[in-house]
Amino acid sequence: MKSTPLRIAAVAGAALTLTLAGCAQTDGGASGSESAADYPSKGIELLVGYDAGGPTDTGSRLIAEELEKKLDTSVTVTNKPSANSQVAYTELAQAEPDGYTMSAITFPSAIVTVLDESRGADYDRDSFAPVALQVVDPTAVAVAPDSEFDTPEDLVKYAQENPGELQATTTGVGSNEHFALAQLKEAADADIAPVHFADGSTKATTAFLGGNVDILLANVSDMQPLIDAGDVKVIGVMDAERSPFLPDVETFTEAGHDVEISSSRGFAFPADTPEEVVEEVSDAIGEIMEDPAFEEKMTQVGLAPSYKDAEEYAAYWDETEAQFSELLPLVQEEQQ
Amino acid sequence: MNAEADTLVGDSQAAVERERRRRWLSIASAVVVTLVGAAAVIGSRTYPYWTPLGPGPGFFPRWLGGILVVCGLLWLVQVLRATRTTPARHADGTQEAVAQAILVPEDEAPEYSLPTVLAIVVSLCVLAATLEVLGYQIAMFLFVLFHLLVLGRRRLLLSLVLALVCSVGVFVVFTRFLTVPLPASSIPFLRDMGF
Amino acid sequence: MLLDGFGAALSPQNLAFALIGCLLGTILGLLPGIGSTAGMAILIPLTLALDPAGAIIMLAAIFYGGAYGGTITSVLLNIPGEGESAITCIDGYQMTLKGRAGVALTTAGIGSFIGGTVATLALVIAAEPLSRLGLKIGPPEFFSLVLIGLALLVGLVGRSVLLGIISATLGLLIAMVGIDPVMGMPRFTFGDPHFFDGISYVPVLVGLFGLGELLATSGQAAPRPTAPTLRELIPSRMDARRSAPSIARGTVIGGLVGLIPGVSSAISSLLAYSTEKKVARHRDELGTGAIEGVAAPETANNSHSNAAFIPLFTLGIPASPAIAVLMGAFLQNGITPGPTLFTEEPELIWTVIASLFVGNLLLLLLNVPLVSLWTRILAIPYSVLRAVIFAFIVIGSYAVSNSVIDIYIMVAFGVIGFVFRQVGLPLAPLVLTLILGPFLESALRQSLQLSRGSFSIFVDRPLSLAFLVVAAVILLASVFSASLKRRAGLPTDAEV
Repeated sequence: MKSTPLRIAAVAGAALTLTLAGCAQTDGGASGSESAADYPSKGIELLVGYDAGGPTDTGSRLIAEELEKKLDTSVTVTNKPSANSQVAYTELAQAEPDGYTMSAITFPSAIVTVLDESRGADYDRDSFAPVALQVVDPTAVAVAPDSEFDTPEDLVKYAQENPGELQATTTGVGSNEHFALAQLKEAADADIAPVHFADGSTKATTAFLGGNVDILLANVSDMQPLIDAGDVKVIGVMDAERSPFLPDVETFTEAGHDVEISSSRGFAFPADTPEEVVEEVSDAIGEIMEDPAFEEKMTQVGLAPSYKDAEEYAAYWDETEAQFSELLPLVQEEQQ
Repeated sequence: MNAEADTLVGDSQAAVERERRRRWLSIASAVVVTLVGAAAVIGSRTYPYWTPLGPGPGFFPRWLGGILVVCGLLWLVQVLRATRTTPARHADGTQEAVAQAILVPEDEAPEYSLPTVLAIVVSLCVLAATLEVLGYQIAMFLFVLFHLLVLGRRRLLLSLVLALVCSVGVFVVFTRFLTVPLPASSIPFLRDMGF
Repeated sequence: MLLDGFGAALSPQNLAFALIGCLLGTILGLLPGIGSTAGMAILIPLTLALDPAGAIIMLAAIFYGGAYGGTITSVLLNIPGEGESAITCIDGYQMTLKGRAGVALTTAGIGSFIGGTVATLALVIAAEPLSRLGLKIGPPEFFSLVLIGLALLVGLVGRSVLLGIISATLGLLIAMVGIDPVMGMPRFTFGDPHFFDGISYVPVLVGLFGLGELLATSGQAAPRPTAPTLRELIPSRMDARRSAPSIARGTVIGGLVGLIPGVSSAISSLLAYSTEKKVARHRDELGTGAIEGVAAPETANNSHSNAAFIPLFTLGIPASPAIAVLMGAFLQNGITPGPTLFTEEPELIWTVIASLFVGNLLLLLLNVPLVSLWTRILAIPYSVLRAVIFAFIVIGSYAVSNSVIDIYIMVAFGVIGFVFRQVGLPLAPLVLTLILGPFLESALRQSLQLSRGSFSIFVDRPLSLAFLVVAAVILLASVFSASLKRRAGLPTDAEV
C-alpha cells in the first residue's frame, strides 16, 4: 500500500534528474594544460570572504555577472564568510596561479590580517597579484542632529582641548574606524576614545542613537538610511575628495588634517598568475566599469565606483599597507 | 513492523538495559563536562585576565571553566550516590523512581538503537571526509545508497533512484538554479567526467 | 508601513516561499520527535540562497508548519513533536480514541490561528513604541537584561538547576570561541582561521536539534495512523461554544508568557492547561477527551511563539529556542535584530511581520483541510525520509560557509544533542547562551569603555539597576524554591 505513491515519486524524480543531468553535461569537459592565449577555457571561481548579501558580495556579484559576458565563461561566486576574509585569502594564496581562482579583496581586512601577528595568517602582500580596484567607501563621521559640531574643525578643536572626553563607535579592535581614530590622533592630535562594537555595526548604531556614544563612525554607504531618517548629522568624510553621495560634507583633508581612511574593495589572483591573464581580466573589469549603465547599477546599491588597474591597485595596496603598519602600534598600544 | 513486536517481547529487559546504559552515559557526561571545564581553565591561561578597563579575554573562559568543573563534579557525585543507594533490584518500582528523580522520566528519553546511532555518525563522518575528494555527487550517492540498502533494507531499484536524485539531482538544482556551489571532486580524472 | 509589508509578503514569490515553508515544516513536524525548532534547523539550508526577506518568511512558515505537524502526531498518535504540544496529547489522543480526532485538529488549527493573529497584532501595535524604548537600552542595560534572561533560564528550564547551569555554561563557553571582543585576540581557535568568527550557529543548531533528534529516535518503529474523514473535521456548535473561552484564555496566557525571555512555549501550554483545569466549566472532563484540553494549550503555544517576536524585534533578545534559531537565520543574513531594525530595514521588518499574519492564515487554510494528506505522509517508510533528511542537513551545514569543517561540527553537535537527551541535560539554555554569549561579553566591555573602567555604570543607570535587581530576585527565588522542595522531599524539578 505504501509503495504506490512512493514509486510514482521515484520515477518522477528519476526523470527529472536525468533531464537536469543532461543539461549539466554541456559545460563539463574542458581539461588539460593550456597557454595564456586560450584563457579563459573554463569557469572562474570568485571567492568572497563575506556573507551573501553584504556590500562586498553585492559588488562582486555585479562584476561577476558582467565578467561572464565579457570573458565568455562562467564566473561562480563562492562565499567563505569567516574571519574577516582570512579564510578566503588563505584559500586564494594556496590556489593554482592559473587565473581560474580569484578573490574579492577588501581593505583593511587584507592588510590587518597580515599585520596582526596573533592571527597567524599564512599569506602576506606578496602572495597576491592585484587585478583591479572596484569600490572605495570612505569612513564618515556623524554626530547627533542637535550637536554643536558642524565641521571637522569643530570636532578636532574640541577633541584637542578635551583629550579623551569624546567617544566614538568602531566595529571592533583593528577595524578601519579604529585606525581612523588612531590617525586622527596622530595627524591632528585629536584624542577620541573608541568604544568597540565587535558585535556589528547595528549595535554601534543603536548605541549611538540611544545617546550612549557621541560620535558614529561608519562607511559613507552605511550612513545613507540614517541620513534619510534624519537621525544623524554627518560632519566630515575622511577622504581626499568629497563623496558623490555627500557632496555638501567637508572632508578632513579640506579642513587641513591628513586623515584618509576608507574600506575599499577590489580583486586579486594568487601571485605568479601569468601577467597576460591578470591584464586581460583587469582590462575587462575596466571596460565594465566604464559603462554608465553599470555605474548606475553600483550607485543604486550604494557603492562608489572607483576603478584602478592592476598596476595602480598594486601601488595603492603598498601605500595603504605602509600607512596601516605605521598606525598599528598606536592601535595596539591603546589596548593595553 | 517486526521491530515493534521485538520491543514488546523484550520490553522489561530492554528497559533495564536502557536504564543501565543511561546511567553510564550520565557518569561519562559528568566526567566530560568536568574535563571540558578544566581544559577551558588551562587553555585560557595565556589570555590576559584583566585590563585597565576591566575583564580581559581570559576572564570569562576561566570563570566559566571553573563553574563547569564544580558543576560537573557535583553532578558526578549525584549520579554516583544514586547508583549506590539503589541495590541491584532491577526493573522494579523503586529503581524507576530513583531514576526519575535524578535523571529523566522514562517517557522523556526516546528509544534509540545503538548500532543505528553509530552507523549514522560514522557514515556522516565518512561522507564529510570524502566530500571534497570524490566530489559531492559520488560521495552523496554512496551515502544515500548505504542508508537505504543497508540500514533501511529498501529494494535496489528504489534505492538507486533515490540516491541518484539526492546526489546528481540535488547537485544540479543547487549549483545551477540556486547558485549554491557544492564541492567537485579533487581527483582530476573524476573532475573531468563532470563530478 | 504594514500595508507595504502586506504588499511584499503577498508577492507571488514570497507567498510561494511561505507556502513551501508551511508544507515542508508540517512534513518535518510529523516525524517523531521533530517539532518547530528542529524543523527550522533542518530546513535553514533551503533558505541560504534566498534574499533575507524570503529566507525569514520561509523560516517563519516552517516554524508554524512544524508546530502544527507536532500537534497532528500528538492528537493522532500520542507522540508530541516537542514540549509545546506534549500536553495536547492528554485530551487530544483521548478524542482520537473517541473518533473525534478531526474535531481536535480543527480546533487546534483555529485556536492557533486566533492566538497567533492576536499576538502578531500586539506586535504591530507595540513594536515601534517599544523599539523607541529599545534605544534606551545601551550597553549597560543590555548587559543587565541578558543577565535576567540567564537567571530565568537557569531557574525555569529543565528539571534540575544544576543541569540547567551546566548547559548554560557550556553554551557560553562555546560562544567564547573566536576573536575576543576585548583585545581582538583569537581564543580557542586552534590557530584555524575558520573559527575566528566563532562556531557558526547553523551547523550547531542543525546538529543539536535535527541530527540529535534523529539519533535519539533511531530505534522507534514507524507509527501507523488512520486518517480522519473530512466530515469529522468540522466542530459542532457545542464544541465551538466550549472552546471559545479556552481559546481566549490561551491567547492571553501565551501572549504574556511569550514576552518573558528564556521561557519556552511548553510552559505556556502547560499553564494554559492547568488554568483550564481550574476555571473551565467542564473541568471534570479534562483528561478524558475534552475539547478545552486541546484548544487552550494549542492556542497558548502559538500565541506565545508570536509574542516572542516582540522582544526579538525590539530588543534583539531571543526569548525561546525556536526564536533563537530564527535569530541565527537573521544573523546569517547579515541582519542583527534590535531596535534599529525599524529605521534601518523598515521594508524587511514589516514584510516579515505581515508574513506572520499570512503564515498563520496559510496554516489554517492549508493544513487543516489537508490533515488526511499529512497522515498519509506518515506512511512513507521512515528510513527513506531519514536518508533524505541526512542528505539535506549535510548540504545545509556545508553551504553556510562552503566548508567541510562545518559538517564535522554538525555531526559533533548531533552527538552532543543525543547525549543531552539521554542524560536529561536541557538543550534550551545551551542554545540561548550560545547566541547571547557574544553580546554579553561585548556589552560588558562596551559599558566599561563608556564608563572608562568603572563598574558603577551598571548601578548608576536606573534602568540597568532595575534589571539587575530583577535578575537577582529571580535567581534567588529559583534557588530558594528548589531548596524548599528538596527539604520537603519533593523532586527538585522546576517543571512549571
